[in-house]
Amino acid sequence: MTGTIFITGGAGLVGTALLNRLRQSDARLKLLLRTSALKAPRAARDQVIWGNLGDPSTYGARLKGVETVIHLAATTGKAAPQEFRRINVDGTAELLRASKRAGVKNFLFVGSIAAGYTDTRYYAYAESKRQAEKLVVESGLRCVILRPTLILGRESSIWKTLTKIATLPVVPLFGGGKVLVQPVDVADVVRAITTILEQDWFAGETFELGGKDAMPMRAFLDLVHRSCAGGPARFLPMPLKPVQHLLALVEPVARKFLPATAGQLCLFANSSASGRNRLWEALEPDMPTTADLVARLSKVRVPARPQEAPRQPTPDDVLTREARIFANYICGRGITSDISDHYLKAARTLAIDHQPADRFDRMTLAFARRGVGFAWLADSYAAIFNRGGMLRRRMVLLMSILENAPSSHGLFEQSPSRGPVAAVLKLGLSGIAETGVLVMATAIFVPVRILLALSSPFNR
Amino acid sequence: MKVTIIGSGPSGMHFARTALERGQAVTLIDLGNRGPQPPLKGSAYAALKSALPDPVSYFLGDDYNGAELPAAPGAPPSAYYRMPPSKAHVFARPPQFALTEDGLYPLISFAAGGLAECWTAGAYPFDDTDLADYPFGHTELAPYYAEVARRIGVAGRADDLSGFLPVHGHMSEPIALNDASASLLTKYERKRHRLNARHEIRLGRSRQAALSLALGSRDGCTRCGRCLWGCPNGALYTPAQTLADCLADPRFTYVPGRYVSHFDLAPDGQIAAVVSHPAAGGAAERHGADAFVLASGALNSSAIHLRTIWHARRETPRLGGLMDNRQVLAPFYNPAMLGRAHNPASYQYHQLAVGLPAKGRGHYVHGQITMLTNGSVHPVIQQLPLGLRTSRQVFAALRSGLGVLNVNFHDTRRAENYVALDPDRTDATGTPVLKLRYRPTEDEPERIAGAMTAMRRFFFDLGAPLVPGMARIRPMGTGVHYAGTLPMSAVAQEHSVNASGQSHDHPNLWVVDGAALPFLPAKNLTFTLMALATRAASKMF
Repeated sequence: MTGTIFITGGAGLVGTALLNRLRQSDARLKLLLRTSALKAPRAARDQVIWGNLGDPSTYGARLKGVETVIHLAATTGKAAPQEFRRINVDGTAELLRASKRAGVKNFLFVGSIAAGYTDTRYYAYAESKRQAEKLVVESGLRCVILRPTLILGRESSIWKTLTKIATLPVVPLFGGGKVLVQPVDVADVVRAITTILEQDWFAGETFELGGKDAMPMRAFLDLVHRSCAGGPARFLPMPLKPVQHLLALVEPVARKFLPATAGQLCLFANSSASGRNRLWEALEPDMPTTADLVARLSKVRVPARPQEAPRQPTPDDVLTREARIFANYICGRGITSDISDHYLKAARTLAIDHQPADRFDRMTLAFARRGVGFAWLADSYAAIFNRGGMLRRRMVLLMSILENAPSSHGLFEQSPSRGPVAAVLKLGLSGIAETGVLVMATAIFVPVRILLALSSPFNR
Repeated sequence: MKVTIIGSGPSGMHFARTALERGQAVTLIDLGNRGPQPPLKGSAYAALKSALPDPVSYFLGDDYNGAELPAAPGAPPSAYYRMPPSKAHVFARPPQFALTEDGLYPLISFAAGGLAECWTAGAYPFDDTDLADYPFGHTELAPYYAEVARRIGVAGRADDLSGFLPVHGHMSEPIALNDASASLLTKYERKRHRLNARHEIRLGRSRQAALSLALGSRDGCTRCGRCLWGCPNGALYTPAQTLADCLADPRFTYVPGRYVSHFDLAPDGQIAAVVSHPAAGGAAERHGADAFVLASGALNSSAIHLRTIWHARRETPRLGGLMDNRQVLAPFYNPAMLGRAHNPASYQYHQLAVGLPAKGRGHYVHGQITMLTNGSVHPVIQQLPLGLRTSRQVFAALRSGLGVLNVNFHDTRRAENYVALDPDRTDATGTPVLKLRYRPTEDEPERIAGAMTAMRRFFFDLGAPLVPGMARIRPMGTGVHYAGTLPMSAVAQEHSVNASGQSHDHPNLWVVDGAALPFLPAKNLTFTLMALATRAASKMF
């Protein structure tokens, strides 16, 4: 595989596995990542674009020169119907428009077997995927649609959920569990995508993709139970439709707290077996059986990481760690490597990377580096009594980088519309917390300062 | 007639354009620093931070000069204007230029387009009170304001400020107000009768050289929020746009990359040639012409005039009467915006203005109201006496209602404020460097206090109180409206010009920039500079 590939949803289950595979090829990769995907694995040569699917101004220019777009990003799970629409339908529409504008050649859309469900009452996700597929087909781009069934992998959330349900002492079984499922290994989904790329199968086809064999839901849950807990599962039959109606009734107010939504239970109302097609036929010989797949996943153990020999931290290590702690303190989140790189470079360029000459400055800096709480205490004190000190200078420098970096700038532009009462309340709470921290900080740092002054009056 | 203009700022460009429109061939000599084109034209401010390959470098600069850190103990204060890296070229000085400052710390530009490449587009016509010391009144200048407005697009409305800001021809519809400005104007309109009864101050729409609708090749404002970094649509007028228009005219010759040192004088006192050096250094070159036009900004034009005298007679006279607007910045808060979201899709600069009428002659006080829309927030957040985490949260909650009132005061020509050549310091060619000296009037603190008290009361009654203790008197030079060193004078005296800008010292020299102003009202002068240059060229051809 060669050329430039633009991938959305690269931080997800399929995305992570796909990137590992594509990085072994000659393809140049551009990854569109949301800022919340800070921990997404990235290789040095990947081009990362921090952006928002629905806002093509954040990534449209970077589609120039891209040969193929692989659109994996989607919202799933218990999201509200309008969220499914906003991300899965509107987001896809924007991406298609931007791709056409930029002259992208091929568009690979990873949809879902749910798009072919016949009973999708309450299932906004399935509807959103169906609409998105329609947009892709009508876009005029050379396209292909891949509809995987249940994707299983060690990190797949569906596998984790299934193991939780299947290992309950009594497994709830909606609608008798007669519908078929045909789980597919995430590795086979990746093989499907690379096959499409290699064979240039962008002829507007829709490929359903299941694993080697299909089986009734009840048999599948039993298989999972046997692999994970040993012994046969005991089922509790539940009526599907009444439960769905009940869930649909309470969802608008209690969606967050429900174990599943009415829509998600459509899995028990529809067959999730895939049809045969040339892609499936090409991959099937090397697919594991569902029993092998389940057995493999249930036995996986994370290997312990080899112990690294301890080494003395370099000044760069210290600054990088400091940047991470300070960023966590200032805006409650970690940092990307571009932020720490800029922090190191800026501290050097502005000559504030050295150990401060002032002992108190040195002490507060070391104190703040111990963790987020320590950083807050030291900064709270410095904000009033040591504004020009090294700690404050470095923190402000980091803040200037954070407010402009792709992964964190949004935090500095947010000014939530929450109404005056809530705003006053929030301000009051912030004030109380800050006052508490300042009192503690004063109790710590004033005596230290006095002691330092007494012990070495000429130290400054 | 062969005309050579020096400088491509607002004065030079509108003189050139008028001359070209009247069929003259024009040569313009300029240093002409240029900056990068705005990147990703279609991206709004926030989107730019995701879409640019390295937004940190774009917004802070490769040298991180855009990061405003707290001053270390004992360190000198930082520059009073921190321009974004994309505008660094506007203030880049050539190696030949040096300056001795005393009491006034100016910004000087050698950019194509001059200082107005960084202006905030305030376009306020002078009225008869402002022009009392000029050899003509508003009626004489009105057609030239209209002509400039036609060229560059000046937006505004007839409202309560029209008593101070004459309504002129070709005034266009202003850009839609940002949320915070709209909230403030609504408050004013609701309380208008009570406020007008209790206060002399009036509030209304700013006059902006910024387009709400397309004009020629320029687009209307898209509210992308990128004004400060360089409008990507050309909606915000800068003289470089007029330069681009002129460059399309075959009768226009642009000679960039030249640092003008002085004029060679003929025995009869006429200018014989412009003497310039390549910006990178090198041998002097001489450019002859029939008429010469000084338009390189009051300070540079004064320097060229003074160096001309020094080269001709080795004399170092003083040009008295140096002026600039004193500025006071006063933050305020509009509580009606509490809990409302900040909207980054906003025009960034002032959209409202206030005027405090004259009590004596020339004492009109002008204020511009800028809401905190986009821009670096770390300089503001670090000002709060709180930990940065809490400061960030407090700022986020209050941001949508925060604004700054920028109050400008008039200035008069006084002999003790002057530009001269510094005999104690010479440049690489052995010529004394420019020296500035400025002292405010003794009654200035009283004048400022009086005006600020009136502003404080007005804003309190308006329902957007000024933040106590936060008003700051800015150092002289921050007005960036330098003027008065070669003033218009009805009497033919040395170092002055006539009502059309023609020099009393050198009959084939015209001075058409701020140096020729005999009085500096509180209003931003750039619009008037363009009108005066247009008038001078109209009278000349």
